[in-house]
Amino acid sequence: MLSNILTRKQPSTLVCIQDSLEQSGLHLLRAFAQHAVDRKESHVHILCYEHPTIKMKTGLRNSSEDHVHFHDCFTDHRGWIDSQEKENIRSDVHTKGNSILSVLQTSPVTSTNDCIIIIDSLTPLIYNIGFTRCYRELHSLLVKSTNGLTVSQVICLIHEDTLPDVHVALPQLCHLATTTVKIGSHTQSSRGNPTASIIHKKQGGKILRQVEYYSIDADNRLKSEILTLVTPTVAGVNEDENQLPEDLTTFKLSLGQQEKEARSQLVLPYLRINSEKGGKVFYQPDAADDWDEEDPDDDLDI
Amino acid sequence: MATSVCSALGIDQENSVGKLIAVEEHHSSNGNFVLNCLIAEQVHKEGSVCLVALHNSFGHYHNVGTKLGYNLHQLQEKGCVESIEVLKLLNESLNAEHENRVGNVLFGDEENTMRNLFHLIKGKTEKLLQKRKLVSLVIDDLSNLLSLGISVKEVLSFLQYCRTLLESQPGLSLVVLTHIAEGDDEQQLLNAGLCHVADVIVTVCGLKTGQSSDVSGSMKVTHRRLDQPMIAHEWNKQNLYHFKLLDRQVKIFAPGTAPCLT
Repeated sequence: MLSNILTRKQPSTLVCIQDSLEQSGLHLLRAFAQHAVDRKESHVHILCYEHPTIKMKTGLRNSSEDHVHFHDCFTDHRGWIDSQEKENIRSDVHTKGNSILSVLQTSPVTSTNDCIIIIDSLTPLIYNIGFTRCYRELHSLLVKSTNGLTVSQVICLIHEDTLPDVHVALPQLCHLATTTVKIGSHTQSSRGNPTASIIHKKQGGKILRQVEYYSIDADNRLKSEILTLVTPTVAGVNEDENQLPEDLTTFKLSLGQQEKEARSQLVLPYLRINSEKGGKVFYQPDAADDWDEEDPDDDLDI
Repeated sequence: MATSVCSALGIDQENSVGKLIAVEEHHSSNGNFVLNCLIAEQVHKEGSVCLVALHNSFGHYHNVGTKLGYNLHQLQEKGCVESIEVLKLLNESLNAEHENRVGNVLFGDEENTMRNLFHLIKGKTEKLLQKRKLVSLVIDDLSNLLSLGISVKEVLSFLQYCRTLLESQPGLSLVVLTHIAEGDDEQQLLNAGLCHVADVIVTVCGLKTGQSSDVSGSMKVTHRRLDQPMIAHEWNKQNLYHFKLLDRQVKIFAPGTAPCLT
């Protein structure tokens, strides 16, 4: 399913890749970006918030083509260097780190062409403008009629261990996204490859869930397979211990019919069947026992 | 003496220029030795060091350095080492604030504090790069900024600005240490934010089962090769070592091979 989402056989407007320190999702994001670049159907805008643009550029083939635009939201995202040069004037203006929409609107080609937006990490953006504003901007990107932008797909990466209120923010992002890919590290059944838990919401409302393992080669091409859990075979020893195997020895171990009847009729010598009600003590004194008929509590003055 | 640590970190094989090495120090262990060994390596390669000392004074690093074989005071006089002693800056800023004069670097708006600190660092690294080609910016320790009342957002912005220096100033490498204590959410967030962007992560923690006279703690080295293609099993491969801190050196060995056991 992951390959279908990447190749857009399963269309998805917002793909949210969640990773953690155990396994990075940057390679998968690059695979998505490479595919978008190779298709050449729409303009690709790559917004680099967490890493310098050079890092994304060197990782992608054909990155210098006309339809690929890199936006540097990493350098001087708070305007500290710029304001220093302007003699310490405190800048409250929109710096590039502040808004996805302003970054895209200032780019000359977006207004007329269909575009795919790739965000290398939402974390710096969430820290800078707050989660609410980031959510609203993502939402407005997807609603095509506003701002004169036609966005066909947004692919973003989010680090779940860096979000300030992760138990609140992450479910909201997952709700907004049409596809959520949660990256996990390799397991026993994934042959050393990282795993991806995918939840995809189809346009009709159906939700598809799958767990796959994937690998990405040096050309940023994705290969994914469904993860089948390798269950250890239950070596169940369900032997019927009641039945003795008869061919163990040459001796006769089982009972014949007459022998079974004789066994049921046998009265055991010390087993007395209690026919009377109440309890009764059977005492048989030995030769050495001293049986005294007197009541030992006779001398008590009660 | 410092070479065993550096070979464990893999720095002698890979070029650390333009890279960020994150040292994660867990509570009840001391990751300072990693920084000292990295400074020793840099001095050995005839590079410069810009030391941002938040946790200890400059004298402390000098004392440790003499045991590892380098003299920081001398190097500072020669101009190979620059330092920003934040503890002294704290004192000056507090006095400046009380007397209402200029010089208050640290007690003001959060963003201004970080911006001032960043500009100080930028100035020092530019000065060092004019003399020598290799400069290492060592920050010890980033989580102390949280103790100043600065929010995680501002500290991460400061870190991002330091990383922009890696690009704008070629020849610079960055080493940052953070402290993590369990239960401290801000430190966890800061550490996660740092490790996601680091090229090498060194995790120093104490032994899980308690204290030992033969082993001081464990050190895990993770190379996050984000630039290179993923290879199954190889990516994010971790190396676990045990170390013992001695008076004049640090011994690194594989778990279970402590000298007393062999």
